[in-house]
Amino acid sequence: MSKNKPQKNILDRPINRSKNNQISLNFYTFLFSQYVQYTREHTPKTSDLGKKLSKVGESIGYRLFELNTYKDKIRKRELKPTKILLYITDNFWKKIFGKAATLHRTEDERGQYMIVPESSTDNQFTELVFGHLVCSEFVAGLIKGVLNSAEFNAEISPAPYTDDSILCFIIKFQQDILNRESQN
Amino acid sequence: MSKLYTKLGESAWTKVDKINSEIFTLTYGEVVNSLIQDYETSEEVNVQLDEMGYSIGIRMIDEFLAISEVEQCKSFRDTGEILAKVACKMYLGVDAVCKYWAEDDSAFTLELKKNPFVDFVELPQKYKDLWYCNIICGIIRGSLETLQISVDVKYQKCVLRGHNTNEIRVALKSINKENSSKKN
Repeated sequence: MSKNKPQKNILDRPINRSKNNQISLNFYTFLFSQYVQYTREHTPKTSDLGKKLSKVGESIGYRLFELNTYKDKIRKRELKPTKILLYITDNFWKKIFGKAATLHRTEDERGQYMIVPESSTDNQFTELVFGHLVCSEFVAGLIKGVLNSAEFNAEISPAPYTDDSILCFIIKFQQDILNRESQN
Repeated sequence: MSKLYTKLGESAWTKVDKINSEIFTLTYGEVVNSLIQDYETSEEVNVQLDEMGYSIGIRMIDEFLAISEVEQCKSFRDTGEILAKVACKMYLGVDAVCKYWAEDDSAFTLELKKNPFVDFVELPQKYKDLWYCNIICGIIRGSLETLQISVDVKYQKCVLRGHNTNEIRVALKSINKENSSKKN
């Protein structure tokens, strides 16, 4: 295949700094639901579908975090769990879903938090062909990816909030992160 | 007529809900990644992408007709213009152009100067035969076929392969006029 001009090294190409690069939400939904359908057909066990989506979400979340911190010129790393979660609920959630989510701390366990999204915008994204739980695995994966990228190990699980229409995400940090925080 | 379509495209773009294009780019990257892991050759992945696009296209066309409010096409030339000026604008937020029309208006090339699918992507040598955005070809084929317009859509140039622009060749195979008059 002949090349028309020498290809610039991808690392030298400028990252588009325009903050308003947008695409139709419906188009994204079409692509996403088609991908979920494809994964479902190619996954022998239905329980694996959620895991696969979660993995995909992780991979995307990881990269998104790096991209956004670069674009926003955030030079300082977050060291505290609450701070990084606030970044996720305010900054990150707003970029993806258009509205910020809220962060709650659960009373029963230390080191456990809950992200509660606004019902209207989030359900639009997660309410796809196969119902809430499957696609929420994807969003849980996104959160996990961001936390991995920021060097926080945690377990994320979606759970129904007070009423069934809103899904929240319960974040449980691993013990070494909590130890790290208590040392500071 | 072209100005009318540009206007329709822009008004449709203002009507639709939007999402950050980066999450789209990264999600699409994951889709292609999954396909590469599942299939051995680039050719097979190309076919799969086309199939996926086809399924998306047959569902997308209804929504497109409802939101864009375009009138029935009088010729294949109108179809091409609408595809470039209205559909590409409404879904991808990019301005596309129709050019290199065949003498009898039976084929044209759709040129996308800016393609949100390919941001941050580098095609390794191993996948040099992959048409990364082949899903677009499937989408065009699927949506036109639902309108009883049978087309052959092939990717001709892609920036990931070293060309300076993205070009898709759309060739008309047949129009099933009996049924098409009942639609729209």
